[in-house]
Amino acid sequence: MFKKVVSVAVAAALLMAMMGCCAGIAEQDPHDIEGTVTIAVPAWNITDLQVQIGDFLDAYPYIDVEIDPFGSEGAQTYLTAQAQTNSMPDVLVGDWDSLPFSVSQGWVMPLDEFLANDEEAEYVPASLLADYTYLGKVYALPMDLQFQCVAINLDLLDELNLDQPDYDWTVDEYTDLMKAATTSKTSGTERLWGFDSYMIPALNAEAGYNAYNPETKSFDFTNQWSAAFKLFKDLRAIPGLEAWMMRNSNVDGATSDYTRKFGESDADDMDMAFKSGKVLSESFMLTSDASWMRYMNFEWEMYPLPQVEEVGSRQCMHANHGFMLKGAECPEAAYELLKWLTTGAEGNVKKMEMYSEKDGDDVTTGYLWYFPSTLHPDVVEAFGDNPHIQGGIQYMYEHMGTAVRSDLYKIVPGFEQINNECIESIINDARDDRREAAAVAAEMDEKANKRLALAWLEFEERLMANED
Amino acid sequence: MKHLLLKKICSIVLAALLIVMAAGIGTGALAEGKVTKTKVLVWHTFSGSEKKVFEKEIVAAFNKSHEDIRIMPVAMDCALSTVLSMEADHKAPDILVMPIDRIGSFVGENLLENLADEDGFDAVKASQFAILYDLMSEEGGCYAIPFNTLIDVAVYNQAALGGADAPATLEELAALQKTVAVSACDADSLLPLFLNAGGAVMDEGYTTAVGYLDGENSVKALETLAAMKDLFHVCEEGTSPLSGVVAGEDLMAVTNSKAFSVDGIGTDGLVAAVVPTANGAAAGSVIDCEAVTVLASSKVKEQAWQFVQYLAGEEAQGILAKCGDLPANVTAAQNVDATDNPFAGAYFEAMNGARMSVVDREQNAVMGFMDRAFEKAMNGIKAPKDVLTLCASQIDAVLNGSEIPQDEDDVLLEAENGVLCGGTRVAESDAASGGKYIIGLDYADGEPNKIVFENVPVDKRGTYELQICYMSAMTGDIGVKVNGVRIPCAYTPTDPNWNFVPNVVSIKVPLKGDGTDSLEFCDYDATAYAGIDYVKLIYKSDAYEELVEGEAQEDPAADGRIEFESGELYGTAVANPQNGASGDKIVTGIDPAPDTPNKVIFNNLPAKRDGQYILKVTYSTVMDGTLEVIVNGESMDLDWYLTDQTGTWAYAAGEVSMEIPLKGDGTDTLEFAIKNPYTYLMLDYFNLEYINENLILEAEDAAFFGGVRAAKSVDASAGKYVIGLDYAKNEPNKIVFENVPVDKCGTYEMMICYMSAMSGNIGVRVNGVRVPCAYTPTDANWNFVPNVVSINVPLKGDGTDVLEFCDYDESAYAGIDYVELKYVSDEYDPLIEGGHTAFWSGKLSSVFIAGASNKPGDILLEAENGVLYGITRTADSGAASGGKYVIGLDYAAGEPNKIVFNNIQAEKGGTYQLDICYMSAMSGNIGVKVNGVRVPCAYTPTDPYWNFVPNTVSINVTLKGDGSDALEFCDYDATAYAGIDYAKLVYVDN
Repeated sequence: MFKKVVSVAVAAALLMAMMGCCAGIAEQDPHDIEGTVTIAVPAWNITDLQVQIGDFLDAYPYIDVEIDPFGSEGAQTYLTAQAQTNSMPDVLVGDWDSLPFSVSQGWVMPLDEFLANDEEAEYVPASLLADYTYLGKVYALPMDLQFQCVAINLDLLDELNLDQPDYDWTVDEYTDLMKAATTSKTSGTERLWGFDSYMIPALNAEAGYNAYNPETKSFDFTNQWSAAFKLFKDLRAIPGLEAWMMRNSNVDGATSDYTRKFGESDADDMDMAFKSGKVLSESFMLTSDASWMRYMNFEWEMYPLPQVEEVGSRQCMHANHGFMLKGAECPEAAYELLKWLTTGAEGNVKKMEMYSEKDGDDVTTGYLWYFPSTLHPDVVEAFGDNPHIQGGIQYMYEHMGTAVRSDLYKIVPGFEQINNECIESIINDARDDRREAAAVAAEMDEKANKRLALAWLEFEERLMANED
Repeated sequence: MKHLLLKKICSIVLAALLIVMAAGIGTGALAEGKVTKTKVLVWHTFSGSEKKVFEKEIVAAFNKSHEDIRIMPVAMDCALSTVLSMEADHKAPDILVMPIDRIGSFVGENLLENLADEDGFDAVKASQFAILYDLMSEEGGCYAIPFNTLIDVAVYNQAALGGADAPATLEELAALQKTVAVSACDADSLLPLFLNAGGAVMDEGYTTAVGYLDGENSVKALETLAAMKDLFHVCEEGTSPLSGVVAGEDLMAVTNSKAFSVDGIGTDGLVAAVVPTANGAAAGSVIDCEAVTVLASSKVKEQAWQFVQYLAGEEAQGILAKCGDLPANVTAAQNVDATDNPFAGAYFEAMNGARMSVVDREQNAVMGFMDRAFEKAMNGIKAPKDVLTLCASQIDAVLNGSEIPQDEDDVLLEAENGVLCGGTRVAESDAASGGKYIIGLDYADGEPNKIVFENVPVDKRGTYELQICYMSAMTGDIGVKVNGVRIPCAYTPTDPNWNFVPNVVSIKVPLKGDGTDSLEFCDYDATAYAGIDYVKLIYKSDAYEELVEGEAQEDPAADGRIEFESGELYGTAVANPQNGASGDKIVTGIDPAPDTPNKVIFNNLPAKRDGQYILKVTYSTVMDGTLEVIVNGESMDLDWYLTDQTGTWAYAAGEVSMEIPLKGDGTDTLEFAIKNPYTYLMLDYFNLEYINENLILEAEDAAFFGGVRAAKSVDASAGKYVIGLDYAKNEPNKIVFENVPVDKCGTYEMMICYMSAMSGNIGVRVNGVRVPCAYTPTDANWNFVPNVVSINVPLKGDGTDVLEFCDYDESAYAGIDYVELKYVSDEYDPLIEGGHTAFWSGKLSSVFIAGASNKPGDILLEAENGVLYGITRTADSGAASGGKYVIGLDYAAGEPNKIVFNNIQAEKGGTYQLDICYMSAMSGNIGVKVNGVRVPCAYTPTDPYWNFVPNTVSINVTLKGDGSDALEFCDYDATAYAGIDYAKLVYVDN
């Protein structure tokens, strides 16, 4: 009996083991893909990427990877040079330049076929993929996400005996907190400049940053800006709430109210008042500003932008991107590497492990965490396990699916020039009360939309010509 | 008990079952039991086949044999500054593999681990060539392990040797009456020969050169080389000496294995031998290497050391030999297979008596002195004994930190002794020559800020090396004028904080030597600044080539001609030497013969546009005949006519032409053959000229201003394009087309063919009004790769239109090849400077010109049109009125930084509203002076990031209205800054 039981158990174990192995082969496990991939990566982050690619090679033993770093000149210049010498990489990641430029050159391979066969693609928020979709095809995958946020001085919050807000705080709660923190010695926030541009999506379900609507590919300041602009003006109207405005009391070269209230430690520093610990929040910040925030001598936390109930969380987000180049020697292997470094579950879990293991005292850049561009359950768990992540950061990550892009120059053709010349150069006329906001909105819409329509048309014509 | 045992065994088996199941059905690689290896991050400086062998073979072999370590290599510059920056972010790699001469600077920053303390170090050291360790030791430790052995040998063209053995001595070499290719007749190129002729540089401890470099044997060695000067052929700049040997033009060059492993030169037809000796000296080559270091900050030192040991071992070193380098490991070097590395024997032989390439412990800090000493001796300017005596004392002075003796024949001009013009002024530093240097050479229109040396005291006509000792925190171009002609001279930063840290840059200049030469220095780049300590003139040779302002030297190839000998020659077609012909060669033998396609074929013609071309064929012949020209497969006839009346087949050029269609997509082909038997001709070259109904304006045909100059490229239209359009105040660097020959009034599409490595904005002015025109990069390395951008512009068409081009963005640069104008319509909407215009180009690259609207009677004062004092300067923005605004109004005592408008043409006296359009990230007070009286005018921030976001502030001012009113603007607050776009005066009342 004893022998029989043991024999059956051993036989069953062997059978199960064989079944498992066979299943892996029969399903053509991507980890068994063979091939060589050349990848271009930004030199500024080369050692982190060396580790990440090393982890990839551990998991994909039959793929060989050659790394080609590109410098601060960016991917656009790098690829232009590579194209001249017929030495394009197979994959490029960490691009912070305009994707439409590279796509319009006919360099970038659509990823739809790969995504269709990728079970993990469903965990990438559709809105993120939509940002990289031109004429129905997805050309890139997101990575290195960042969010616009409100940094709060927790020590000052304590000192003023104010309650720490929830991460899904409302605009009213935000406004009340800013007001409550505005005293003869303290202010609610350092700057509100541009706050209205970022708050448009928070207050309107149909519009994005600067009233850009990716569905209609147009700006709509006329209809979407007013609520955010009113919020901005209402806050600015409260004396002393915005520290920055106190600089304007300097009319004759003497000390301004700003320096009288916050000192003269370094008035050239745009964030001097907040850094002095006398201002509750900095409302004009990216999460990557943790790099210098870590040197503050007070406890702080980054909060998502406030919301209104009827709209919900609509954060302003930045992202870099990675893509595959046409002519990749082994597209299947190239996609696995691209996925590992952008939206894939395994790569992100390993990357989060790397960040979790970093010693906070040993990292001066402040990057002890990052925002993965997938909501795969394994990654969500790994993100939550990272001891360096605060609640506000966690909230922003969990709500990235409803976020909008505020780095539109990376994904919208011609955006940077149009925004500079038709919006940013005009919008302050309204912010500074020189002109009626409605007139300014109409002018911005008219000028920018005319230019934008032409830019999209030219881009899509080139894209169609390339695809032919 | 048995039951319990059974239960336990079952549990174990089931547990095992579960583990196996998990392994079998998991999809993730990690679940399959694959381990995460420790990553060792390696940066290296290899390229070419060395990179491939290092990454794909050596590293791959290590990774395969180490289950717990993964080496991750990447090619990086490994510059000290890069590594320091990454160290600061705790993102440095673990291992660097780089040239040995960098080790000292890394040790100086405490970046490297002392490997002498590692277990097994002694064994590694014992396995490698001992001499290489002379290069590794710094400050009592050993901070690197040699990776390869780079030893100089003499490489000969085997055919040129004619079957003879390689010469053992320089005398035997000279007797062959062929040439030795060198990069220059300086110490860098001649050191191996100098040492092999008995020369020496320093003592073994690198403490002194006196008694060695100036010793009897060294003097004799240099005398020997100087006596053989005709033996040396100095190659063109940028070409490898070995390429001349490969081509059979030179007999020999001294080189190490890098030429083969990196430059990709094959060894076929070449033989290597020990560098020949002279004066009975023993052979002793120059040795160099690349080295492996471990960063002191590495957290995986144990694994890194394992890899270093592997790199030093026989297996890795054996693989390394495949790319042509000699291993540093002695056994591996002895085992090199001659089929893999045919020169290994020569390298190995050259190891006997080899000496280090680094001539001093200061990492070759003295090579500049040696180069100049050798050049003077080799050019017969001074006796070898004299130059070596001086050089030895100079080297010792460098090593001792004492004052460096100068060659009395060199002319040293202290900057403070020149004529200081404009705002140039003396600054003091103990480190400066004479304790002083000159600053304030800032560029301004007309170059008022400059140093001038008149009647330069040189007494020989010829070429001089002009050394400029400067300091700067920026990169830029010292504007040097030699006898009135500007010569570019680029400089790099010496200290980021503007402290006086000197550096020397050199250019070659021709001087008349008659006491009338002049030199001028001012900042070339408007946005870069340098101070000058001294300049030195060193006579190089009697070669004198007059400089010509703004003109490139004519080159026949620059007219776009295509030589027939460069085509594919079929059948009996042959290229023969022919005096007088272009390139001294012609092609003959294309006469028809049965079954033999005798012809010349050109594939992939460099025609850039689709359309009709004029084909011009230049030839010589003693008879009439007909060429068959096959254009993309279509046969056409081209009659030729007798050119050589003598009938002797002497070269007498003639030209015939025809119109042909080309696709212009790079795939066009042309074939040339003689149509009829018994007719012959010599084909020299042909040209293709695009027939264009549009007007083509070649940039090189425009009027040049400032530092603009023509550059050559066979890919450029007509072989030339224009560079140096760099923005400077008042745009002195520009090209201008006056009286543009278009005859219709209306809208034209202006197509600008440009090249650049950057994105920016070509500053186009059409009849005086700026029109932005954005461009994108065409080639990251500034090679001539053309692209075309288009904008629509209105032209009057009356023969008076003017087009101007200069770089719009101060920090972006583009070259221009040509401008093409295509008539679009009769719509004519003139551009207005600084005003809104309804003009719309229909192209993305064209933009509106935004700015101030101006009513009749208002006075618009563009800031850039004021008199700009001090450091005030223009900046560009498409959003600014007129495309420009003025910055740099920073307050300083005496208000030297200001904009002034004199003699304002206000029509009547009274109160005017003064609107000031400004930009700033701060609040402050624009210091306005109206007829000398300050009027406060507060401003508020417009953009926190200093982008050009304009705002307008208004104050009322009183003007006399007699044409003598003056306005001044400068920053009132010392710590607040504003830029000014324009000011507008609107009459209010009297």
